[in-house]
Formats: sequence, structure tokens, C-alpha cells
Amino acid sequence: MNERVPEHLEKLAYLIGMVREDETLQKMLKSGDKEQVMQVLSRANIGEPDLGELNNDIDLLIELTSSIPFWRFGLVVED
Amino acid sequence: MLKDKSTRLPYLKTKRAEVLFAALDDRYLSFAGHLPRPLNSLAHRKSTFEGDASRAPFAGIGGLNPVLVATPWLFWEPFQSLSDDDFLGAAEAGMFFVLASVLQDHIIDGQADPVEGTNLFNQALFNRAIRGFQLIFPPDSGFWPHYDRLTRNHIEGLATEITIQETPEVIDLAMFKTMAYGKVSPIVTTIAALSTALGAERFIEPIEASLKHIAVASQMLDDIGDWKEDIKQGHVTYFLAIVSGVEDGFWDGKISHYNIQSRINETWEDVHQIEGVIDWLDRSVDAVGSIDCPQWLEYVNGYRVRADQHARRFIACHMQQALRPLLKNRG
Repeated sequence: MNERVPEHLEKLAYLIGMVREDETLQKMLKSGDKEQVMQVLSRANIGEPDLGELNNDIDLLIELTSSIPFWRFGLVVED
Repeated sequence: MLKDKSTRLPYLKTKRAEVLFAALDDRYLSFAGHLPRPLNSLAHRKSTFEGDASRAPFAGIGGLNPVLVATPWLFWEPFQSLSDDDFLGAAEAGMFFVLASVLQDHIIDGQADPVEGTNLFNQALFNRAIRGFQLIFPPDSGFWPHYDRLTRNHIEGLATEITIQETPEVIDLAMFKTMAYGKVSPIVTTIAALSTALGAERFIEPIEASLKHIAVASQMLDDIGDWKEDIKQGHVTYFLAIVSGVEDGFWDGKISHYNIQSRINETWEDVHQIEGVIDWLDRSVDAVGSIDCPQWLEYVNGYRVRADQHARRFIACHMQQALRPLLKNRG
């Protein structure tokens, strides 16, 4: 996914990439309907028993990427 | 003699590039050192240019986002055949012109502190910039029509910003672009100066297009990243208007943190807008396809990578939201 994200998040990265490219999958997730959400997850071979782990992985990903700066003219570029 | 801070800057690829950049930094410091109080204090304060609340000292022009005053180096290859004097002359006038525009921007959006001193410092920077351009280009130079056009764009952009803050319901994509194009126009002026000095005005159009595209991208990115703060400040942005549904007729001008967050959760507009940012960054790269400018491409790509990471993070947040009820039901 990027240099900050550990290898074990690859499945999540794949899922995110897939959702990003497909508006139908986005709509299914937006619906909040359990069946539709599970259908999306199944595309990345994620089933109900994996939901807890997936949620933890998402937490980790969000934490790892939350400090990425936004950019505006005039500000220092921080790496 | 080279300065350590210059050697660390990734866009300075050659010894000559480093020496010229250090010389430009010295010119700024010399100018700042000759200003009367309290302007000399403002000139040495980081917050003057960055609009934040810190009292940190200004670490030199190398500490600024390079798109502001280092465009001659980001586009080093096209302009490196200029003599040292011609290169530095254009870079210096452009630097003062752009820094003046940064302060003008802060004055317009209410970030300037103190506003009186910032106003006067802006005037000093602007005067120095104009004097610099006049020293390089005679009155009949091809530079001046570009200068006139770009200063018009700049004023139009800032005027649009004022209009949007006064009458937010009128904001649309055209106004947003006018604002972004206006803000980048002083930077394009530096490119116009370098191109005219080189006798290569063919560089202006593609580089101007590239800068305008990245200006739209950066403004969008800024608005997406700052939306909570913008609400606190009562600052209306295109992003807030879009999320509130201005294009769908839902806009009622009542913006609250709760309403915006709810709409983002519902529409995934943060994802759509960040994809828009990436599209503008790609256009920025495409615009300079005929020009050898590796530092510029590296610079734009750096932000593309970041925008991509933001896009993935936003999707992750939405996925977490979709999972929440499923996890709850499992107990």
C-alpha cells in the first residue's frame, strides 16, 4: 500500500483498491445493508469470522496514515 | 560558500543550483535586514508567511514550500542556460512578488497578524519586486503583457475569494478555479520573467497550465484537510459547499460540523474530491509533457502520492463505518 503500512495489511489494501475503482461496491458499502457489505468483503475473501480482525486492521491503517499532511501554498513541506 | 540548509533541499541538483539558491536566500535576508521596525521582525518570523500562531523564526526561503520561490529551480533544466545574473535577477524579483502575494492572501482571509504591519511589509515586498522586474525588462519588453495579464488574474482571484466569503451561495467550480488560478498567478509571473529573459516564451504556456492545475489540486486538498477548522473560522470553501449540496440545491448556508460529517458519511464526498485532486495533479504533469523538468515532476508526484494515501485512508474510514453495525450485531 505504501511504505508506512505493514505487510499483513495487504488484504485490506487490496479491498480498498477494489472499492476505490468500483462505484457499485461503494454504493453497496454506503447502503449499510449487511448482505451487501458482506458481498463486498467476500471479494477479498473476507468472511464474518474475519470482521474483528478486519476492523483492527482498519484501525491500524487509519492510525498509520492519519499524520500524512495536507498541502497548501506557503507551508513547509514536511517529510 | 554553500550553506548547509541549501544542500539538503532535494530540488537543488547541481553545485551551481545550490550556489544560486543560497545567493537568493542572502538577498532576502539582506532586504529583511534593512527594513525598519517592526517590519524587520515580521520578515524574520515564520508565521508571517505561514499564517500559523507559532513565534518560530523564519528559517530562510529554503523552509518555504518550493512552489513559492523556488520555481526557477524546480524548472532548472529549461532555464539553467541563463547567466547567473539574469537567472538570479528574475528569481529575485519573482520571489519578492510571490512573497508579497502570500501576505496579500493572508490579509484577505483574515490570517494576517498584525494586519497593519503585514500590509506595510506586503507593500515593501511588492515595491522591491516591481523595481526588480523594471531593472531587467525595458518598457517595451514582451514580459509586461504577461505581467499585466497575470496581475489581472491575481486580483480577480482574490476578488472572487472576497465575493465567496460575502455571498457563499454563489460559489461554483468556475469561481473556485478563478480563485486558484489567481493565487498561482504571481508564481507564473516568475516563469514569465525567466522565459522572457531567456527569449523562450514558448515555455510559459505549458508551465502556466501545469501550475494552474496544481493550484486547483492544492486548494482542493487544503479545503478537504481543513474543513473542520474552516467551519470554526466561518470560512466558506468549495468543499464545504459541495458537501452541503450546493450543486443539488440542498445548500442553505447553515454549516455545522455535525451536518458536514453526516453528509460526508452519507455521500463519500471526501473520496470523490480527493480523486479530483489526483486528476488535477495528473493534468499538471501532462501539461509539461514537452518540457524536461524532472524536479517539477518529482515535486508534483510527491503530492500525488500523498493524495493517494489520503484517498485510501478516507475509504478505510468509510469501510469502518459500514462494519460498525455488523460488529455490534455480533455482540
